[in-house]
Amino acid sequence: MKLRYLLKESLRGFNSAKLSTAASVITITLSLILIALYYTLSFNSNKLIKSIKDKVEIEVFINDNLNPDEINNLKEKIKTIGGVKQITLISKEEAFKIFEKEYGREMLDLYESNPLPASFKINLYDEYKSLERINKIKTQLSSIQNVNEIVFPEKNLELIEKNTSGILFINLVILIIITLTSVFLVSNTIRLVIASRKKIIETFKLLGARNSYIMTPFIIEGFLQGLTGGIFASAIIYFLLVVYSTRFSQNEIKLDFLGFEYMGYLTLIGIILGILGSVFSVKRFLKAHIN
Amino acid sequence: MIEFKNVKFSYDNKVIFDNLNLEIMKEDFCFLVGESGIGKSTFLKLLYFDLLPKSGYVKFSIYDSTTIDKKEIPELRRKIGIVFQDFKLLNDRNVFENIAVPLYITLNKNESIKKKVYDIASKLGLINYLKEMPYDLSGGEQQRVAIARAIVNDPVLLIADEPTGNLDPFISNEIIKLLIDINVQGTTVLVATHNFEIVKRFSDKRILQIKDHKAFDVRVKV
Repeated sequence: MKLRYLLKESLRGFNSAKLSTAASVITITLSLILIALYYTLSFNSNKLIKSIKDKVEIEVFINDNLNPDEINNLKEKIKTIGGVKQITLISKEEAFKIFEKEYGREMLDLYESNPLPASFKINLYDEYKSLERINKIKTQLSSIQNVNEIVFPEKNLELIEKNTSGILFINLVILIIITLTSVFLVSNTIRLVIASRKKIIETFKLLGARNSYIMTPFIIEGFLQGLTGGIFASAIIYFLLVVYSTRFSQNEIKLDFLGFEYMGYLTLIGIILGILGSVFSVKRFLKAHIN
Repeated sequence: MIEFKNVKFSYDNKVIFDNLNLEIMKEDFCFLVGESGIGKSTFLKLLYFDLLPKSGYVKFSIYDSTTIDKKEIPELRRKIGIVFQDFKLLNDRNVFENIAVPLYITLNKNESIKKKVYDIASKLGLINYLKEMPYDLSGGEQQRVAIARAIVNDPVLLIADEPTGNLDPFISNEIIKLLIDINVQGTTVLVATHNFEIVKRFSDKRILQIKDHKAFDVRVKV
């Protein structure tokens, strides 16, 4: 096929249906902004959950008066428990220092000797940081001799787990809504563009044009609309990013925005959306209106 | 070249053709007459396979309505030049580009497109209108552009649906003469019209009348 003629044919389409073409580009732009915002939201919520989970650790307080060998034995025993990534000993002296630093000396002065027990801080592998698995580990730990008390942020973990599934669910719902809305809006606005050129399609068909010949200019148009929408959406997101980073740079709520390197992907999604919208709409039109 | 055999066609419950039989030979010039709404346009649509018979068959050249594959329809239409009742000129391009559409569709080279369009345009007296937009032309001029587009690709059959529809008698005569010229050069021509006056003026041509859901050969007394 003659590329120059087909390009000319596509540009003619842009020209003859300016309003609906503009509507289509705006729709693609808005859909892409929604996708970018969704990505930002979901990326940040995941990051937040991960950072909270990273801080989850188990504290195992051990009996007083254990000699270094016994403490070492205990450490080795704990290491054998599945899921344990790292184990650190906090000696009585270290515990004393930490307490003193955080709460002051006054309370400690009430005691004749150091009242704080030695403990192990246990870091777990990520996949073991669930309430269910930590409880299992807790059971295993409590069966070990000389283990006195086991503490982990049970309430916090419960809260995260409850909200994680909630956030995931909301994420999923938003994703479905955005995808459906984008596809629906884009294919409908492109259908408007195509309907405005019904006569041309019909005439081409009656003069012996094959469907592929009729569709190609529309695919090129979809590509151009997607590209334009992608560039607009990238520009808007970039603008939001600049505004956000200059106005809220001191803010404690640090949001990671869609980076500049992702603008290419966003434009690519726009192009795919434009082409798919065109193909579906022309196909539907050819089926419904002709033969 | 054209054969309709026991063709039945209806829109929902409205019967248009019932056991329609006819043959049109190669290089014939044939008027298709009948009252408005009797089915002339439907007949033409059956001929270029825009509609298919409910039963019976339509044959054109090597194509048969009962066996044709959908993908072959564009090929068939490239062998037929159609002058539509409403012209179907494209208002987003000038006269040159309108005439050239069938040539672009059949992937002609640019130079050959130029040559063919200029040849046809000079034959039909359109050479000075090539850069005009269709909506700036008179009815007669638009009709000639539609004819130019229909014959630019050397079709074996030329179909004209009410080609004199909104034209004055003088221009109508000119248009029919033009179609006869095309026929003389070897193209089969089929003209659907409800204008009996014009048919009378060219009464030496074959006249097919559509009546009672069938087609009959008729002669006109001058």
